[in-house]
Amino acid sequence: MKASYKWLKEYCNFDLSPEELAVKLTDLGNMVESMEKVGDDVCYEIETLYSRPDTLYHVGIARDIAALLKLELTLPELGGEGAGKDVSEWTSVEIVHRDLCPCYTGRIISGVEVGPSPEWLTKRLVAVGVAPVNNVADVTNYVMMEMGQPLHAFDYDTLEEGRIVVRRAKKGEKLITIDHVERELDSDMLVIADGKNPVAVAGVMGGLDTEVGTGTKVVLLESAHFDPLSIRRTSRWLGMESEASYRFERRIDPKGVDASSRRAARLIREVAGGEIAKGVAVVDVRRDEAREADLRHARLNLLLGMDVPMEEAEGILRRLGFEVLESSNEKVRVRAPSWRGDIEGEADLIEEVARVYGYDRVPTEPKASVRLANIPRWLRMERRTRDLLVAMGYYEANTVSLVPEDLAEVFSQWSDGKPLKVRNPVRTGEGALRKSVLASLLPIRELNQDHGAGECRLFEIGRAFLPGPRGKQPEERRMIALVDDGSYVELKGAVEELLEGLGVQERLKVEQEEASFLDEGVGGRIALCGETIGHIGKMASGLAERFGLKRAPHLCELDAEKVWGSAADKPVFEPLPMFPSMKRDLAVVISEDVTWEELREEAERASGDIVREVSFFDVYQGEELPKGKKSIAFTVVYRADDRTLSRKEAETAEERILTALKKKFQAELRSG
Amino acid sequence: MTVKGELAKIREEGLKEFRAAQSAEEVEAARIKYMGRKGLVSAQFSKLGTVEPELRAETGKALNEMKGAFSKALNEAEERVKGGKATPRERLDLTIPGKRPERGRYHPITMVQEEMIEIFQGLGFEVVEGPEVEIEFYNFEGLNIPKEHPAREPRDNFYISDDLLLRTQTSPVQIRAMEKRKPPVRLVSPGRVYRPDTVDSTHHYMFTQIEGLMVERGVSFADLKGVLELFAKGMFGEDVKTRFVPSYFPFTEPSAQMDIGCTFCAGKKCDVCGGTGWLELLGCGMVHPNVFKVVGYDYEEFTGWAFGVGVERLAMRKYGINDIRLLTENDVRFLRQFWK
Repeated sequence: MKASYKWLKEYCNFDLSPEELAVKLTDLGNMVESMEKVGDDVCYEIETLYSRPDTLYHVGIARDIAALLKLELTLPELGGEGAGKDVSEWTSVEIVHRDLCPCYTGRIISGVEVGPSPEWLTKRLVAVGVAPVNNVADVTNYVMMEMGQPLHAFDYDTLEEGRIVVRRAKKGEKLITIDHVERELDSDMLVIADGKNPVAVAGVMGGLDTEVGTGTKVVLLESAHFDPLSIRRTSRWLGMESEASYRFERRIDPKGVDASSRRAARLIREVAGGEIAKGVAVVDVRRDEAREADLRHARLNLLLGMDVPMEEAEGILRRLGFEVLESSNEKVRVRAPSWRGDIEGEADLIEEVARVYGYDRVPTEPKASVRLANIPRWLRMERRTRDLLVAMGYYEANTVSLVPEDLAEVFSQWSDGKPLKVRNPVRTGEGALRKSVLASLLPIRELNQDHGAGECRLFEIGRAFLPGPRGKQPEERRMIALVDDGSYVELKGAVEELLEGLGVQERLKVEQEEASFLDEGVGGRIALCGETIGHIGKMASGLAERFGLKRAPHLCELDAEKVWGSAADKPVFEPLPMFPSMKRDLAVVISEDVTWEELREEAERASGDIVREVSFFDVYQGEELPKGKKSIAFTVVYRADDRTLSRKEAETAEERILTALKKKFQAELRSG
Repeated sequence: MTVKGELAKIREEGLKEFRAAQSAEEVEAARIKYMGRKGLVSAQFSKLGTVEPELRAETGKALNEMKGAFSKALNEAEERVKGGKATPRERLDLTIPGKRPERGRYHPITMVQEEMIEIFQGLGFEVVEGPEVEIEFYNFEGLNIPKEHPAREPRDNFYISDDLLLRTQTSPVQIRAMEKRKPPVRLVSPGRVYRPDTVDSTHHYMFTQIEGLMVERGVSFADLKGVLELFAKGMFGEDVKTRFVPSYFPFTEPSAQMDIGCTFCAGKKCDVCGGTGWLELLGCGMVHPNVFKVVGYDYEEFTGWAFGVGVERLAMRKYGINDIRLLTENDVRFLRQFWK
């Protein structure tokens, strides 16, 4: 809302500079976003609160200032009763759809001379950014900016049958609006029609053919009350927002309909001459809603944390236009003015008192008791996970949960369900909620390739949305997703290190398993104690091509809750061994189909209780070896808790391992 | 050669070799030769059993004495080569760059979010979370936002079905949390929220909020101001200026907007603060009685206040990031620039 310094001063004679007034306006909640000199006046750009449509006009803003400064508010003079022949001899008003328009008034001013407005009028309009048109149109705009009621002036002689019918548009009806655009109307829209055709989109914009121009002799002045929701829908649907629709959407002052009409009729006569017909053509089916509320002194003080004297509070409410019905030291009962549709109860009254009394006068003193904050486990685990991944060189990403639908569908490892979709995506192709964090993390790799980044190691801890039964909320499961340009073993190593760092005691196992987003050969599920906790592998080449990646990165996604479920909250110290351990390396030649995991399990099973660890160190395939064979080298650590092992004991255990491997896999000790 | 003579020879040659060693490798070679597990000293000890019984004690003593001498010589030799007194054979260019281990990065959104959570945890606020796909009731009616409110226009929300939508604010967590708790309540809740908005350098349709709520007997607007001012100081330093301007939210009454003195021009008025000297920080207010009614709290007995703050805007202010899109693009050249 644009407001003029000088215009405000007409209603409230404050002694403040434009800068001082700006501060006061902001303190009251009429946030001044900027101010600008216009001629000898100053124009404020005020951010109007949705709850305060009564500050969309000068009188309303001046009322706030007067309440704050304890000044008199001078209201505009109305008049406009009319003296000519009765309005009923000119026109009539009929409202067909009263739910959308509970009140419509028409006044007639005949014998007008349409022309330019006088200087006092154009100056006011120019100061608040409204372009002058002609004296009649300018008055309607002036009164809207003054009293908040949008008005419309029709050229009476262009109205078929000279009467007004307020109704829904009929299918197929069209109207050229004053901006010279032909609008197609439909039955959801409310129109103002004459005896035959629509002449205005109700509350939004008037028609071109019935516009007041230099030839106009008789003016029909409309002042009405339209349903806010209907105006909003219509203006959105037609893609046109006007000063009028903006105000109707936010609810106008019901009592201002007639007052503004009278004020405008008076001013039209003043600037364009003519005669005001007697009375008003009106249909009004509104009921007077009296909103009453109590303000208790104790409650006021409790909520604000300070003592506001009761007479001060009552004075503020009176100056804001509240009618005081009962008053004592403990409480006042008030009736809200017609323009304050936002007032529902005591809390609203407390806000009124507080904002005028001054938010800055509320002490800055927390009195609340001390207590211990509980850090939920998921947050602690998320922090530990993030710290570990960052320490290992991964960059944290923050990607958008909405992805293209077909991409969301590629990731069915957690749920086969159709991804949830929003009905109105903002960017094409960002309409489906990811079922895997990888779905939004992968495109990031492409962006970085395009920007010339070399190797990337990225991770995100975020939610995947797993569809549940139709119409129900999805399961929002937290995932740890990684994209790594390094090798498979590097990524797997990071995952192993992560799990160890989180205190997961069990060893993770990767089992080959096909997944649509992973390479057929290098891809599998990660299991912990037989339960799937995630997937790891090389990105499927088709997917890499889709993203135009020159090289397919390795991917991993872990179900965070499952990982954290196995994680320990604290390390438990294990006493240091009393006796030394013995390390011996072994290399065996074995069929290439045997996995390391199988070999290790067999070795551990066969070795007896002095074996502490069987760890991999190398695999080799080459010409010296028979076809279909590989050589695996590994280290075995032997140790006993109660004695220093003799070499003999270790050798015996080693012998047992070799025999078992030979029996199960035909493994041969590799010599040399 | 007598045993004694043999020992004397080993002793003499050994000491000579330890003294002559010029590098760590040479010292180590001498150590293995004389003091190693299979070295000469150990070989002599194992031969002790074959020495005539009457000479055994004396030989043993000589052996121990020799072992002690070697040990001392070995220490001296090690000290010498370490101390650089040996003739340098290799000279390292100390100006070549170090080989760095790889270091990862935290996303700036995480860092700011964590910083805020830490401040509120310090003030006794617990951390809770809620779903992003929210039931209409929790996102709207429960927060005193009736059907006809413009915020509920379908095109201004990401609806998934008739009564499910991506939450437009973290405030639904207030309702969910109060349903499960009795006062006193003190919580913060970080999370993603969604509003259809054309994406440009200052807008995105997905962003992050932190919600805060405090409900207790006797809590007032003074507590709201006091705690939020502490928060601003924790975040922007002791000298930060704050002000509270009347505002409107359906679920608080009175409502306020908290501004801080512009951190870029220190109130001198610049482009960032639009010449006002103030920057909008967050929205807040006293919990609306209708919200307490929804969760079954007695609004006569308890009072409370709540706030909501956007993390992106704060991160952009804090680090001087000029385009909100950078916060979801994850360009590594961008991410590389941040550290805790």
